[in-house]
Amino acid sequence: MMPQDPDLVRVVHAETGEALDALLELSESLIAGSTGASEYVRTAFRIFHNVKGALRLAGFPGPERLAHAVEDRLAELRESGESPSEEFVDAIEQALSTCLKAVEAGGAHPDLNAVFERIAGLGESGVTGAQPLKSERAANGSSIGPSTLGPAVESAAAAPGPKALRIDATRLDRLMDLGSEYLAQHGRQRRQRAALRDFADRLTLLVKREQRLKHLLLPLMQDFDAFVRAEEQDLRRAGQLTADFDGAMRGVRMQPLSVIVPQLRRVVSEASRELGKSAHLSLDFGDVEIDRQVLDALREPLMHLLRNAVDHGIEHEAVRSARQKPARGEVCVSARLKGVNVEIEVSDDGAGIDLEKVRARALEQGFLAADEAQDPTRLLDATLFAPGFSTATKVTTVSGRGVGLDVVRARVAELGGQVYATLGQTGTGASFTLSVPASVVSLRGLAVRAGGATFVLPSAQIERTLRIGASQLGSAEGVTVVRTPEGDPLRLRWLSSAMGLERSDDPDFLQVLVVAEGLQRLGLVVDEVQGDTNFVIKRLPWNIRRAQGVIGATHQGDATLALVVDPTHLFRAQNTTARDHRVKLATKQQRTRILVADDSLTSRTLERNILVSAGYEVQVVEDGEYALEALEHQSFDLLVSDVQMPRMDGFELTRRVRTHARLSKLPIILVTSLDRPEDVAEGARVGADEYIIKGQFDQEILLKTVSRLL
Amino acid sequence: MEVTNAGERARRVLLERARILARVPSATLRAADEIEVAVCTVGSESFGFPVHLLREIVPMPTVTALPFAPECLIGIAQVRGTLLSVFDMAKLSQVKGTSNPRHLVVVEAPEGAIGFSVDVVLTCRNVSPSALQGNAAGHTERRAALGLTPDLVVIVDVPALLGLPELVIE
Repeated sequence: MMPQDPDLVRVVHAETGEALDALLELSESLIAGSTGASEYVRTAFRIFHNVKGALRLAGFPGPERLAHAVEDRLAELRESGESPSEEFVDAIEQALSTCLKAVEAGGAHPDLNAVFERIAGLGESGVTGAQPLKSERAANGSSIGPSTLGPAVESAAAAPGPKALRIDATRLDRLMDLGSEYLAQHGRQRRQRAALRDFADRLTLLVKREQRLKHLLLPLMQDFDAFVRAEEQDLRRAGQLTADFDGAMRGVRMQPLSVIVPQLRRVVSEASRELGKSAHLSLDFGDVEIDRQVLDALREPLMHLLRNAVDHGIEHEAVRSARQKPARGEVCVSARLKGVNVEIEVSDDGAGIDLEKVRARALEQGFLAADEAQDPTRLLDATLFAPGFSTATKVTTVSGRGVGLDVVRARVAELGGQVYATLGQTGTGASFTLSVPASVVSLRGLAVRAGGATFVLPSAQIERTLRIGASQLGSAEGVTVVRTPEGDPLRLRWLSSAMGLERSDDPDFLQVLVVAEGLQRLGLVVDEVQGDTNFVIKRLPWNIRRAQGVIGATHQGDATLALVVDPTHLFRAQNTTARDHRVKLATKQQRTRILVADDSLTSRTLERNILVSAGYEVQVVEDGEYALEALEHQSFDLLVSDVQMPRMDGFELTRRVRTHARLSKLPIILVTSLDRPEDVAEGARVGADEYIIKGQFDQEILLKTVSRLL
Repeated sequence: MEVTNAGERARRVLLERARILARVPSATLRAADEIEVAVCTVGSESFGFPVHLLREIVPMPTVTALPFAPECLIGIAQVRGTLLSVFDMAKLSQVKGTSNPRHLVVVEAPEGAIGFSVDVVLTCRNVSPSALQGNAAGHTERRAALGLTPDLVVIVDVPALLGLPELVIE
């Protein structure tokens, strides 16, 4: 057995205590008649199933065996459809109470064996019992009540335990809200203090200029100035304290998802050992932080999914070898923030889910009619996540009771999320994705300015930032594109346009964020990158059910808010405003002028068309003399010239340009059919920046060369 | 002379203070059917918001516009740490004249708070709903209005205001 993890023991202790509370409440409602017998059995089964898993994780085999025995009895009841007797209800309460006591005692408890025998006896003597439940039982205090269970609960409360305090999450939410408000108030104070400083400066200036006032007011102004300085210092200190407070408040609620890594590893390790399989767990949680309450609620569904992956997914080594798979199975858990949702995917490279087997089992167990079972989506929805459904042919302590996915769905739904399965072909593994909206999510984000407003983008979806010359922009399929330094085409989208804001004129160099969504990439043009930091996303107000392109807001340390952008929106809306981008692009690139000199009508027409289609303004001339004349009287950013031309060839033209006072720095590309090394060398000698041989000429080479030189 | 003026001014101030201190709180003066309303200007009109249905009235916070939002939604703002939507009362009520919002009337709906921009908060006073000229009589065409006071203050029907479909942005 693995050594007990103190943190885990604390969690299990709390969880078992809560389970006991829930069971007692359930018993009361059964006795009061507000809960039916079948509902009682189903819920009690889940309670014990969860407790069993928790006990196994924390390394308490004795209590775990007891919980498992109770599960067996409850499973019998569920299958028989009979009602639990008073004896039964009492016995399983005692069992859970004993489990709790055993946890408190470090795993062993003198009552464990006796209670185990009592539970086993329920199975042997029949579960219905002779005595029906009496509603007055609780009042009589025959078995449920402080005399039996109180001490356990009290001892839990009084146990010398960790310095932990359980606080209602809504109270923490309120504290966080107040922290935000305090930050906002501090921002307002800062602005007011700046105005006061400005006032003091202006007054001091006035007093210094007016000699009459100087004598009277200067001492007063000096005092006032000292007062303002002291106030500013106080404000700075208060600002630091406010920021620290805000950070501490966030820290109270937020935890990195990676804190559950040891727990998940233990699940896979123990399930593998128990089932005689070999499985490795790989995890990719990045820097995702999640609300502690959500994290606690996700532990159990995740453990279920992992146990299922090892039990139902990963094959035994011999089977894997026969299927040409590595002997060791792979289970992966990855997490990412998708807007205000946390998406966690649990996948394995095991046998996958056999649709035919599921269908057969569904028909056999009466989950669906034959015609309904033909629709795979309906089949999976009605079976995989349904209570009591399992394709496992035997029940193990790991999984196979058909409660795992049922519990997963219920727990995730309680969080307002959803779970769905993605099935590969049989034999190629399966994956389950949990998508859970968190009430508060801390994320690493990049603050940017666009269209006069501030926005935040999740850093996880930003691959890199690029600084791109406006002249490098091109066009493809009606959309503005640019080539990355690696030469890959990248579609551009202006954040201001995407957010419905006025687009300002683009500067000579564009700030581009490469945003990733799955396999797609998008270049997002912003006005300014302000930097990245941790943000807490606040949900939009309740009555704004959908705001195009926005998933929430975050305060900026003053009274203002920054909208958190939904990157998915950027990709969705990518093509709808392509025209807008094209128009802006054409306007922009009129500033980049290129002169093409070539005596061949075909060559110069081809070159002109290529450059114009990429957005440049192009003028063509027929020889070197005309070219020099045009260069001297007009303004161009680049010259593309043939070499062999009448009156003045390209070499001479280049030489003249290089010796010209104003034109000497002009980028020059020689495009020629002269491919001898000495011709190329001559081009370099006279000062051409690039020498493109027409035999190798293509559109991409020309555009790349032009882009580089500009 | 100056002393006399100062004395007279002081006397007036003291009298006014005494009058204010002697004033019985309006709630106790209110007749059984009266409600206290906060009278606010919006553009060229005045609206009375029943005080017992308001969470608070605060100076206009910094509002952040949402992209592609309808015209009546100014944006979102943070009030006491909570995000709430800020609606333009002038646009919602189609009032005439230029509205220059300086205050936010915060109303607590069952699902959460909503803010409505108003220009100036003039006063609080009691009105009797039975004395209002109601919508049914055609005296006011305002939506979400209980009716008009004789001096043309539109008394807002807050539940009806919260029920306007424009307030939920789908």
